[in-house]
Amino acid sequence: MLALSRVVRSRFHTPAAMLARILREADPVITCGVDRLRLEGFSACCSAYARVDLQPEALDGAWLSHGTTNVDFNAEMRAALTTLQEGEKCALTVGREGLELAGVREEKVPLPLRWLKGFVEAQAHQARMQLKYEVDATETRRFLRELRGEKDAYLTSAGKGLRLSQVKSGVAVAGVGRLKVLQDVARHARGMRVYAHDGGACAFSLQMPEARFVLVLSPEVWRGFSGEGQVLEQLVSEASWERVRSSLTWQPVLSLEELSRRAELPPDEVRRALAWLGSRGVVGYDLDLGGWFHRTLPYDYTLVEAMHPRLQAARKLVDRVRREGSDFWVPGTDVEHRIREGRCTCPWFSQHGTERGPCKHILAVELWRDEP
Amino acid sequence: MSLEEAIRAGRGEVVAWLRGKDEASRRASAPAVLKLYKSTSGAYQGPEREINRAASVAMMGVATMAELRKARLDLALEQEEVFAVLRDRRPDWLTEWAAFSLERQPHGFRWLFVRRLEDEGLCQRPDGEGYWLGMIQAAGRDGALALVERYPELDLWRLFEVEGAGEFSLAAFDKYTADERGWAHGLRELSRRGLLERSRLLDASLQALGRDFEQFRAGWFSRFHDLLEPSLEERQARVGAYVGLLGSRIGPTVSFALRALNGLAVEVVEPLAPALTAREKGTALAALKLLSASNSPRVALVAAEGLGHAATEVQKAAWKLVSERGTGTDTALRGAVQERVEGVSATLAPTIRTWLGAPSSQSSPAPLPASPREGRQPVIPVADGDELLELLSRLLETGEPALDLERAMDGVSRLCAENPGKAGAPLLKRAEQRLKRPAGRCQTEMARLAVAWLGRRLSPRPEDYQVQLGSFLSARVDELCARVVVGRNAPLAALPAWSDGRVDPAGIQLPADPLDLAQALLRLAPGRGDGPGEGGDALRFATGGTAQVGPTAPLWAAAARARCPHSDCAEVEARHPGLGNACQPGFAIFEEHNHLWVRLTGLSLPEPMLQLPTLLVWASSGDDTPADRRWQATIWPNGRPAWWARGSLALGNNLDWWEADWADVVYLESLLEPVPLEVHGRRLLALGLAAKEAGQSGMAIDALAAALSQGRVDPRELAATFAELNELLKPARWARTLAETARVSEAVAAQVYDLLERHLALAPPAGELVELLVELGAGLERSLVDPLAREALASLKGSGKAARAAKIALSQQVSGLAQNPSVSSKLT
Repeated sequence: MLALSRVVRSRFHTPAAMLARILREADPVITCGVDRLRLEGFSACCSAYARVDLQPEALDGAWLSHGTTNVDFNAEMRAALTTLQEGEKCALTVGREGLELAGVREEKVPLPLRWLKGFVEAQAHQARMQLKYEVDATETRRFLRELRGEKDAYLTSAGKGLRLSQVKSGVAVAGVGRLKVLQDVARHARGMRVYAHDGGACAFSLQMPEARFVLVLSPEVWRGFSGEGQVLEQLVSEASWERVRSSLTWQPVLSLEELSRRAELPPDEVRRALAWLGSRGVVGYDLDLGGWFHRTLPYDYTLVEAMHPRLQAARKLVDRVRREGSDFWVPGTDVEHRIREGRCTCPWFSQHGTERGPCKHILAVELWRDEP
Repeated sequence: MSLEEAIRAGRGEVVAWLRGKDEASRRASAPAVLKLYKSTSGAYQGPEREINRAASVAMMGVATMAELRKARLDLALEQEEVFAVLRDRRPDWLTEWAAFSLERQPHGFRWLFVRRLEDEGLCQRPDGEGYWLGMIQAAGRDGALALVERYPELDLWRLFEVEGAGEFSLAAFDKYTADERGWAHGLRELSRRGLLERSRLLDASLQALGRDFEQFRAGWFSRFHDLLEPSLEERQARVGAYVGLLGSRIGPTVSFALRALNGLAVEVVEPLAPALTAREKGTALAALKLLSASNSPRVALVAAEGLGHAATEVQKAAWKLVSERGTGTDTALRGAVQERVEGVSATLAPTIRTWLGAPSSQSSPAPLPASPREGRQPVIPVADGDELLELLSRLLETGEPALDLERAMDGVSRLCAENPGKAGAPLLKRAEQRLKRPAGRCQTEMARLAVAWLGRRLSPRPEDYQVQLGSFLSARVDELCARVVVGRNAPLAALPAWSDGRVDPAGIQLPADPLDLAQALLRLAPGRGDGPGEGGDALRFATGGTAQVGPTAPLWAAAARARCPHSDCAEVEARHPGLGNACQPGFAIFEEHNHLWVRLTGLSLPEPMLQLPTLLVWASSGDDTPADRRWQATIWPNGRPAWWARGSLALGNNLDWWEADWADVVYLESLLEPVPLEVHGRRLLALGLAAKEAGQSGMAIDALAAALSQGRVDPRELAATFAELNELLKPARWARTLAETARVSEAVAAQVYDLLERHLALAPPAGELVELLVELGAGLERSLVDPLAREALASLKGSGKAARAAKIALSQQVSGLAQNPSVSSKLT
């Protein structure tokens, strides 16, 4: 938990003038599921997402209710966490109004709005990832101990362990310096799993006897999860989400088969619905369990769409989309952009392609197509 | 007179205008004042600046808190006028404004101003860290003690609860202030005078250390605690607090706690566990020492944590405690040791395995890093206008990869007569923008190309303060654009046929533009080429045939280097003096201004010429981006020695990263190509392995592992290069990078051992390298066989790091340490 609080207080890329305000808003979100506690948060720059899962074995007590809350981890709480000794039992109370641990109480506080966007994007990135490496405790400690530099590198195997290479192979890790937050937890790790997808985002999951610490890194240090557009396509699409949502009961991992049976929908439709719900923050993604989990973020979900400027811009362009044969033409500044076979002539598309989601012109065409 | 006119008349007029005004009149003037304030905000001097200062005073008299917040107006520079205005207006938001000002920038003068408002009863003391951080800064004028004397009612204990940031903290203030005026000495003096309770100061400083502050800021509190010089009794009374700090993630805080606990009657076991893997070796050793003082039966189990430390010395000290205080029958202890044995030093591992009764670990061969240049692929030319539009659009943003630049040039060259119509308008607009705000050369040149194709006009070449290697790209684009603007299609001779950047000599179509053909000649793959005219002659000559040397100097200079890259070409030299002979520079280390530098020697070149890239390679490098440098690496792929020599010069003079030249790593990338490393390549590699910048040293590790795996470098020759550079470099860096390289595979580790063994025979042994040799020898079950190396190690006397490691190295037998585990104990 201390390491998590360290992540949310870290700044890997943020204009310094914004730091004080952002740090005041650095408060982890806590979800009480059926059998476990999950604490999640973002670095101040939103380029790193961290989650601590306290497994059922770590907890001994009564579950009075399920739900999600968020609390301020201030200096008192961090001081209390610092003094906890290994193997020591401590009382933890999580409720709607806050959290109490080791005699320190933290109240519920408002969450930064951009975290909502960050949460949905981080889940979308994780859902695309696959397991790339798994190493034991010794190699985990060695790898984390020997981290050097702050720049980009590629994670590759070396003997029984891992090393960072400059040659394009293995898993791309942008901003290696961000991994240093794992060094504080390395001592407790019994192993580490590395997940990644082709778009450049990666995740490191430290396995501990009664807990897991997951750190998800955005594809570039300067790219916060809140600025990504992975869910834009979901936001402009429709899915049978109501029936799936009504089947959510704080499960630690959502089974496609079970939801399919309960919602009376085919598995593919359930999968689409989960992605849709993920794009609204109603479910999170657990890499180690390989599936979604139920969570209700303390936000108004209708804000998600309003927080995507690209989608807002696309909606303004829908009426001006023009079709010529199989091509679409969408106005830009002083020029018209051509969309042909999902590719656009705008500078944004030239720079990012579809890696950060579709550009506003492609989105406008998608919206135009969906119009009755 | 309106308020606006008063503002223009000066701050005094503003104060006079506002005096006694009711709130409605003030608010009526607010929009105009706000507008004037905003419009003059960018002025830093002159009449506009004066107007802005007066407007800021007026703002305090007319604006709401929301407007002040939005305008970020927290200034207290015009203190007298602002104070007069506020005292007259007495707004109910003054406490909020004071907090806002101090949160944004807690400078001392702001705090003093807020205090004045407080003292006048105009505002309450604001909440928040900013107030206390401002108070810290406010001591800047007369010192902390004087400030406290002036405001004796201040709650100084809050100083121990705020961390601060940047320049605003106790640590930052005291660092840049004379000791006697700083807060640490001030608080101690107050304690001496009996004005602050000493025991509470001791407790408060320890509590602050437990608040997880950042290392720099936490350091002030441990230093302050030490400054108070707590007695043995005082420390004994705070044992619990010191023990609590052992879990801190801040290394110096843990060291501080260990020092404080030293000599106290205390038994600490479990809380020491985190300290045993502290990054600092001394901290872990101190923790082991404290642990050894305990009689607890759990000492051995906790000590096992130290086996996970990076330093062999700590591992050995931990093992000593484990083996002395634990038994192999303790299941938990066996588990803890077993979990860490794979990570311990190779010299220690056999001993531990014997204790565990486990067989020696069988290291499995690891996959070798693949060279990215292995298995060259054909380069696919651009198919049509759509693809060309997209490719150029992307290159305007990224400037790479280099092969795509050539594909784009070829595409425009072949398809320039096509008109993509309005689909090309966004690219043309973007290219024009790019030319107005140039980024790297590659992006700029692609923009010029796009404008020539889509706009049918030429753009001026970027100005170089001197001709440099990158200028050759501009010259080629000039040549191409001259043809493109008139829509004359032709294939590009220099388009590589394969992904390794080589051009197929049989595929070159003539006639070709001169610089295009010169470029093609420098990229020739083995084979024969021929054709009509002077170009055909040059191509035939370049590929080993006979021809009469023609008049076009750039063409024949390139042909000479294609025919004999590293030796003199008499035929071309006779017709074009200075262009036929090859440059084969030497390398020298020299001292200047008490620092060692490197230079290339024996270079006697004609004036650099834009059209002669084989000479430009020796010119000073420009302000290149990595993308620019990567394209430059494709100019003469057959001339790697020259490229590597140029790289050695760049890296050798910037080993400690004095200058952040991110493009230099590109030189090291070329070491991954499947070509043998001659002396310049080996030198560049050795320099890269000693580079401070992690990206450079990481790339050098990759290159060394690949070169050793593929047999492209002889470790003994590389050792000679190391010896040549020995005086220039820090052996600790080599030891780290070589150790990391050795972990790639056992085969690579064996070659690193060979390298080190030979290096010891050629250069004075450095402790770090001898230690690495010992570790590798133990892991590989190898011993020294080179008599010169043995002699060099035997000559080491004393008890230093190198001498101790040398004794172990000399005692390592061919049969290996596995059969002689007692040897390892000698290392400590």
